[in-house]
Amino acid sequence: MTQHIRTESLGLPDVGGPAQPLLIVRDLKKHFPVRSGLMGKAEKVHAVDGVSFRIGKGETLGIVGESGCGKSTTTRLLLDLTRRDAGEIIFDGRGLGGGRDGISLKELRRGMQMVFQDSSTSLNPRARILDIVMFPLRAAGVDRTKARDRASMLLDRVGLHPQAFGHRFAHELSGGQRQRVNIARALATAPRLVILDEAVSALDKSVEADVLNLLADLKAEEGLTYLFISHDLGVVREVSDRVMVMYLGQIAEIGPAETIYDRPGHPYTRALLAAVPSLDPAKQIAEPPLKGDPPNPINPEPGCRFRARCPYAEGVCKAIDPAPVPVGEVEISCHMCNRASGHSQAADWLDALTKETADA
Amino acid sequence: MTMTQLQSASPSVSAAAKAPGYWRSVGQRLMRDRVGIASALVLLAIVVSALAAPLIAPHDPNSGSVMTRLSPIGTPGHLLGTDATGRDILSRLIWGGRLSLLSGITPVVLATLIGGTLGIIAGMSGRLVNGIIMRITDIFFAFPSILLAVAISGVLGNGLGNTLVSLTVVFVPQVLRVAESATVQIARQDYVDAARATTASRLLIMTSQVLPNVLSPILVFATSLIAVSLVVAAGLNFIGLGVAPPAAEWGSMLNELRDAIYINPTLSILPGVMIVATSVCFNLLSDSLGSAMNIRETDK
Amino acid sequence: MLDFTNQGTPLLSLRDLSVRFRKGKGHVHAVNGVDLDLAPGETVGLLGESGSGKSITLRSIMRLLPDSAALGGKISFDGQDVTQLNRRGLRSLRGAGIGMVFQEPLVAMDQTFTVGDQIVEAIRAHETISRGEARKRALELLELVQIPSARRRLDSFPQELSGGMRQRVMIAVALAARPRLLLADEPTTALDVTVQIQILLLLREIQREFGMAMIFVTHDIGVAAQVSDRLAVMYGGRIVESGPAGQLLAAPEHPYAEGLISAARGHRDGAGRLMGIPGRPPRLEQAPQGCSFAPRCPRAIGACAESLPELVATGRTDHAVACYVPTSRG
Repeated sequence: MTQHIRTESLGLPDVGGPAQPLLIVRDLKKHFPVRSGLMGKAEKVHAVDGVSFRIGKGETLGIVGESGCGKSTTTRLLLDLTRRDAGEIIFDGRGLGGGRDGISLKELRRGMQMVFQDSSTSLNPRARILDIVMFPLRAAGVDRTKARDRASMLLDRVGLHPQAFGHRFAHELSGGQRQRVNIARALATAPRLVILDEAVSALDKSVEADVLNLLADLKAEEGLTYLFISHDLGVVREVSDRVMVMYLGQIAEIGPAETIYDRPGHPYTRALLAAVPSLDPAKQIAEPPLKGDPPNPINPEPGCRFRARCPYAEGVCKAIDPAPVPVGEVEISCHMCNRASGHSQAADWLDALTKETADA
Repeated sequence: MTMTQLQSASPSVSAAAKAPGYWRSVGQRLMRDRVGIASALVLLAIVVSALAAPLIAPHDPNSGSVMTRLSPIGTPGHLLGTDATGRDILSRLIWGGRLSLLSGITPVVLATLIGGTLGIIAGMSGRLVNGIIMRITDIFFAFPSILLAVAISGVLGNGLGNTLVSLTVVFVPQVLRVAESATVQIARQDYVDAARATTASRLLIMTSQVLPNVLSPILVFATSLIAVSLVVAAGLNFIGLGVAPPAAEWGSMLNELRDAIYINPTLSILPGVMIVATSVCFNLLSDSLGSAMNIRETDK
Repeated sequence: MLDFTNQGTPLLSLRDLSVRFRKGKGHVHAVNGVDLDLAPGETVGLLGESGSGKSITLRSIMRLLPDSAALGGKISFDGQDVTQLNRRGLRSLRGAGIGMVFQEPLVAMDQTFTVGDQIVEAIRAHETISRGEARKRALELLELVQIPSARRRLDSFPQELSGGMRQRVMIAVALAARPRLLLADEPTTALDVTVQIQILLLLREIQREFGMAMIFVTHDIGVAAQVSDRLAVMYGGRIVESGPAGQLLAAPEHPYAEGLISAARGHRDGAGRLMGIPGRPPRLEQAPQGCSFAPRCPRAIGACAESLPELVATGRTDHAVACYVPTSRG
């Protein structure tokens, strides 16, 4: 008999009902000050620069993008592990720090938890597995016996027999087992939203499938909502309902996973997907879709962030920040997806995109 | 491994509760380290004999006869000979262990408590608090430790208490710096972020996540610091800034036997041997402790 | 013994290569009898998961193993036995004969020297030419690996460069003495996909242009498919299957290769669950008695646990598998 992780005493109640997005993020910003050299002038890394999105209840939103695109910073801002400069975080209709109707950080951190990347640093090396899973419960004031029972139940749920694994240390476990512990710890306080930040990235492919299956089971059985961050575009497609593509701290494109993978509307998404090597040696990539490394978002100039690497960049891309435009169910921040933008190829690009959609 | 298989057995934690924790496993690893055991045994012998000095010392350490002055090692009744005033050296070495160990170990213990706490606080604090604590520490580092100890002792004057104070002042910044850098490194780890992402207070995160992990570098450093402290304390006593004569202490004994070097050189070496042996043992113990506390060196 | 090459003498040939590490009181049997031939100009993708022995195999070719390692078997490069080389012989092998590219350029490069100095050093270690001459060659190499404003980059330090640029510099260092074999150990694993493909294409281009042979170690099948002529899949310190890349990926013979490829393709079973490989990677404390994959294998028969299957030809071109129940016969 499977015991449910959801519990009255710990979890946050569903306030807004099914129509209310579980998470709404509005205009999230984080600029890190950096100084080049001792006397260098202070500059700002625009790590997250005006990010807005929502996640529906029971949905999995995937975030993809190159390193430095702000995907990991975004997750840290959501949990207030890094203090945001600006932006609203609304959990189940209740704004973080929003006065009487708002949600406190403590409550938010019970409702939202994070699974970290498997590495030697994701689990306390000097604590036993059971204690690691118990920690969030103890921190929430659950008494020792109850916390221990619940931690055992959680270990069992993630496929680790508590008797065999509870007393071990992290280094005695395989990567896949460590990741199960990571998941059990995140689920301890019965969160409703789980952030998976490169949660399967360090695992071997053959092990990754098991962990992804576990995540899918837990989601179905517990009604969880996932925010899934990965550099592996294939995995994101496997698990996500919707996908958000980030570039230099901003959202390039956001929409249903299938649409974005099959008919990417933003030239950056196109390039990103085209760079993934195919398993078929006959389909060799002849030309790299993008040149150079992703630039640093230090003091970015106005205009489209992607224009420096974009083959379609024009004057308008330099002059004006592209606003998100709806194309079907997808929102794309590109002047070519806006007929009125003044980009010379806007009409052709949009026509081609809508034709692909019609053909599909 | 399938979930159904695992769920057939009802979860229980009784076995987990009985399993050895981290510290027990450190103890087990230490017990398997021959060098560590040997140096611990030598230290134990020195400490026990110092504590039991009134019972085991063959003679009064402070009274001697001029008739038997500077008798060589192996003299009947004076196994390790006598010093310039005819006092039994073996007895003085045994009694001397009390002051030497006290002045070697106490400052390190105090410095570890003070420096360790400040270092962890500095490591976990924001830029301002960290900056203040670390810049003050830097000032102490501008002086060589021996020089600083001599200077402080000189200002404070003679006496055991002042020696302890001056050595503690010298060692606090050293421990602090080790503790701070260990804390900064640990505080960056994902498991600390995971703890921060819960409803845990800062204090709980510090005691449950950070402390157990910074303790090992701090303790290992402190143990090796005792080796230094013994030598510096003896040095202060040697130059007369420590305990007042006629009290027996290895450093001051070394000074007293300095003149004997021309008559009976082996005698003058004895206190030095004690200082070096104790110091080396603490160094070896520090190494063993270091590998015993390194969680990844466990044999699977 | 199999001849995979059909082209006469191989450039590199590994015979019954084994590597064993001392660990505590016991041993880790990391590589357990690897046979591999590499023709001049050929690229082999050495594919495997963590602990499969792929990186150790690669490093043993360069004799870059820690002191705790015991090397067995034969490695011959260009006719000379690498296992018998003395220090001087090794030095000339490491520069002039074989170049190597690592996963983490920052660890592999000396951060106190400029990019230019590192390449100049690498050139002058094997050729007696003037510094000025070597510097000119260094510039050419940086241009070869397509580093923008190469002249300026000569005076940069490795840590001032982005990940992709660093990897290019390391390739330039590896190419400095015009090696005939390039060993690449997961050189794109730490990079973004958009940068990864640039490095892969660069390696392929250089390899073809200079007729250089290459062994490319990776856990990523897609990456291996991009660069390799031939693939060798490793498990438990042995090559379990080897064959032309397209042929092997389209129709693998070994159940492990099959599982790995379907996991990478994101295949799902009837219940809609992603297909992985159940069980754990093999323990390496003992040298394998039977097939290391047998405990996880859905097709295992009695013989699998008892004796070690040898790598034998399947009948398809250049294809070999170490399995008693390969797909084509199952």
